Amino acid sequence: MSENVKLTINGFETEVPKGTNLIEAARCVKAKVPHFCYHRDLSVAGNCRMCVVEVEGMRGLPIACNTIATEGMVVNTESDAVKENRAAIMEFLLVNHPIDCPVCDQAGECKLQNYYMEHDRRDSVVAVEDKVKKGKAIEVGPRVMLDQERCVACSRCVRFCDEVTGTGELRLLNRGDHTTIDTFPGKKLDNNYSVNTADICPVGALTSRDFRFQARSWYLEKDNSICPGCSTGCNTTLSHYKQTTLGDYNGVAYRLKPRRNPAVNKAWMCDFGRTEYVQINENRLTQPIASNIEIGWDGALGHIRNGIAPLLERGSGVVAGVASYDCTNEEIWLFKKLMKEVFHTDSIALIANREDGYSDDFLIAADKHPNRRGSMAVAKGGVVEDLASYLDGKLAVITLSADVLSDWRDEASKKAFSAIKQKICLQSNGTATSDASSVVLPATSYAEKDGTWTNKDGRVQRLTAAVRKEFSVRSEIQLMQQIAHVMGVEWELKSAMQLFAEIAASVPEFDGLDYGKIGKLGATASAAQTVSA
Amino acid sequence: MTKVLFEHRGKADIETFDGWKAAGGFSALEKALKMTPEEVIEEVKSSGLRGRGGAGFPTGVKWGFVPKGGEKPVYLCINADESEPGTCKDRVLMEELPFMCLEGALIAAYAIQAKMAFWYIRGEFDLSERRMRQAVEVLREKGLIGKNVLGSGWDIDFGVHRGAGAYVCGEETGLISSVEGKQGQPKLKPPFPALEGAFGCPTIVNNVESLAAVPWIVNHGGSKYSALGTEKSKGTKLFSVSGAVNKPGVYEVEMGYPMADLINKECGGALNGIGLKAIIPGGSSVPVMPADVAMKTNLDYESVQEAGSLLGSGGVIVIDENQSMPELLDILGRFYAHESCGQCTPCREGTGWGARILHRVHEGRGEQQDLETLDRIARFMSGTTICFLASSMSMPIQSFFKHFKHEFEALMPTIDAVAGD
Ligand SMILES: Cc1cc2nc3c(=O)[nH]c(=O)nc-3n(C[C@H](O)[C@H](O)[C@H](O)COP(=O)(O)O)c2cc1C
Ligand code: SF4
Ligand code: SF4
Ligand code: SF4
Ligand code: FES
Repeated sequence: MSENVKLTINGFETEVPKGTNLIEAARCVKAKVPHFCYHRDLSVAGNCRMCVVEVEGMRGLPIACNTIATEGMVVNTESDAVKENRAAIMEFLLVNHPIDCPVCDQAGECKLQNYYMEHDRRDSVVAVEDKVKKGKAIEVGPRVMLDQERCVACSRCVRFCDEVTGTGELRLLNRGDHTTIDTFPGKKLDNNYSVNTADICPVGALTSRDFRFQARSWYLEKDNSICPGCSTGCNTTLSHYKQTTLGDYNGVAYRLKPRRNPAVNKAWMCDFGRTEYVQINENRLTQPIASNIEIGWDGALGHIRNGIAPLLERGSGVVAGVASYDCTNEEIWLFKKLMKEVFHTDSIALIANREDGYSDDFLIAADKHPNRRGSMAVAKGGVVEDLASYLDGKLAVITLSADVLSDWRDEASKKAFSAIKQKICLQSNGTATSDASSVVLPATSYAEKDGTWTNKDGRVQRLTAAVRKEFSVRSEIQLMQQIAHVMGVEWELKSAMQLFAEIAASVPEFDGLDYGKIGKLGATASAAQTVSA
Repeated sequence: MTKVLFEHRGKADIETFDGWKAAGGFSALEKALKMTPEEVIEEVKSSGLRGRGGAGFPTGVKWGFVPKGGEKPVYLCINADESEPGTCKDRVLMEELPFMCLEGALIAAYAIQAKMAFWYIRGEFDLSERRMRQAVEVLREKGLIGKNVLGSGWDIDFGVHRGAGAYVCGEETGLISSVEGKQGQPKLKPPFPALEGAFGCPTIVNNVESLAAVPWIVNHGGSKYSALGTEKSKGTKLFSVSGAVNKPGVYEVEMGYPMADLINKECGGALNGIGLKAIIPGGSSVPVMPADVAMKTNLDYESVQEAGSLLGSGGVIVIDENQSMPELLDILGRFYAHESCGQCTPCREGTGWGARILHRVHEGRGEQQDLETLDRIARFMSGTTICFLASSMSMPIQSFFKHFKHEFEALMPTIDAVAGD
């Protein structure tokens, strides 16, 4: 147990662990100390000087980021001297700032803008022609754009590349007000985590090229999500178009940013994962289809009944069920039940949709699926190893987000799959498999559904339905329950949360967990047990 | 008057090993190596010697901050970056008395039990560098640098490093960054160098003049040194006098020596008999004093401070009546704007902004709010930065305005002129 110290901030007494700095300590009494250079997951640089506070018994105005809370300390974050100094720092920062907010992607989520409104609000006294000129719209890397004039020289990006990736591409070059952020000559900012620099850049100096001029930040709504790109499961914030009073919500996702989770990804995510929003928008299955005809939900479900019901009379085990490591735990749970209770098949196949890929010793995992560990745990007992022989001779097959026909799959499996006449496909995006299926039910992407994924370390994390699509999609859970219904099996309708409760009650990897405990940051079963014990 | 640093200055071959040896050199080192490191520190503490780099921190006390018996190596950095405008004393010491400087550094290194010392020389000091490099080589040959120095069991090595021309690398943590091979930028404190300095290890940074006094102190005893000077400012100090005097140069006087005597006796009085307007007593970073005030001041830390300035590095800049103060401040502003390392917001932006305004004011193109803006810049630039460079520009602005505001106001365009457009 770490020791605590008691201190008083703005008249409120609070207790913080020893070693806490005053920016963090102030958060405990809901005081916000404005800061540019300080970042929780980087070393302290103390260069912006925005975070000054008053501490009784200390000379001058110490910086909160580099002042450690001590027993009995009395801190004032809002004294006149502090406010005056903050305003002065704002004035200094704006001396050479281009103030091109109208064409700056950072506008709306810019520390400089926000702090100006909170702490300065004075007219500019420096004429534009007196400002120091620097480079603009520099393609500093394949995924990052640089505007040197907007840089406030906080060195966050430099420290990120030095301390987190160890790649050291960036430096603040030159001195005085000619200090300029740049890469070493001939080098590009091209490490696999480069866009994090755009996230932590407090201003619009480093911005994402992918997001460049795509949307004004105030039109975006932000929801919690999990990156589907690999088994690490970085926590993310998904920005999608905002529901406005004009009702012009278009269900378009714009970007993914890392969401801080000290147990998983700190404040970072890889550049590959950033692109995982595209699948929410593009190549979506938008209509229920049967025999290549847009047939509507009832038509499609009827097609399934008419096609499969007669087959079931030929005995059990004639219908194959194939799911993938992209499915949620709840989906796998319900899929097993569907196959068993409705289609009389005891075993399902769990497959990879993608081959293993690049990995490193930081966040990027070789397994490019978000839920291999959870799917395997939930499906335990009924999983077949050999897909080809499992499919061989089946009369119908139901695929759940499983791309059996993907390029790299073994020919035997593909052949066995293609030989099956009745192919029912539940998934969100078009694939070779959906193209080849007799019935296609357009389902939800990971951004439109509730459920959980278990990352490679056994951490169970929540997906929440954030994006709402304008076209017709239904969640896999809903669809499976509707299939049961048309097949004449009456189930009590269950939500993802209720299904999770069933999982937790019978699968040890989920023992003691519920959605409340998982919360925004996820939880592991053993951790949950310690808490409840 | 007792000379400590210049006792042997001008003697034949004093810049050589033999010359220094003939003048009694290395007796202090021999003596020190027979003492314990703690005893050496105590001796220097008792001398009252204060750092001559500008801050005036008691040297022995600083040495005492190094943790005893720690596992990490301890480093000594000798600050020979001497770049403060108006200061050229360390250069004289290194060019003329290199072995004395080195002997002092060796004693310091022994006192803090350093095994490695870095001699950090201002990039422009060509002769100083050659002298120090040679001196180190000679002492290596003679076994005074190397393993088991004079049978004491203590090992020491010296590196001589020439800076690349940055004023801010004279700031102790900027110097450390530079020694580490990083950009020459001061480091955030805490941690303080005595605990976590070069390469994360305990490090002491000392000015050349501070160390040069150490052999004398060890030879004669701390009490002998503390008998010189005033109550709180002990010993002697070098003053680099430049500007409007007949004999500019580096002079050693006892602390507490009257400024008027320094100017009139040592330096032969004002150049061409022109009246004096102002004196900056401690290098360009300290507040300027009107000449009449300065001439009544004694040269010790306390007297100068009482009179409204600081002793700093002892760079005495003498300014005569014909010198335009806005011109002088314009030059200083340009210097600090050029030398700001650019880390801290107030310094990075304030020095450049201030310099631009000072320049247009000096050229008679000042704008209405300019003097107020300069006031504000100076006020908020000081005291809230990683190192004191920002304050070093604030102090001149504030003091020039305090004493010579009228000269700036006289350059401001009149309302009529502004109304013209
Ligand atoms: C901007 C700046 C420049 C400095 N330049 C020098 C210098 O050139 N030489 C020096 O000895 N000290 C310089 N100092 C002072 C050093 O930081 C430090 O106080 C000194 O080297 C300590 O040595 P001392 O205790 O022996 O004086 C400078 C300080 C600042 C803030
Ligand atoms: S960085 Fe911020 S203040 Fe600067 S132009 Fe962009 S939005 Fe405006
Ligand atoms: S580019 Fe952004 S993060 Fe990097 S130093 Fe400049 S303001 Fe800071
Ligand atoms: S005060 Fe100026 S010179 Fe010193 S560290 Fe800050 S920016 Fe650099
Ligand atoms: S946040 Fe403390 S100085 Fe920048």
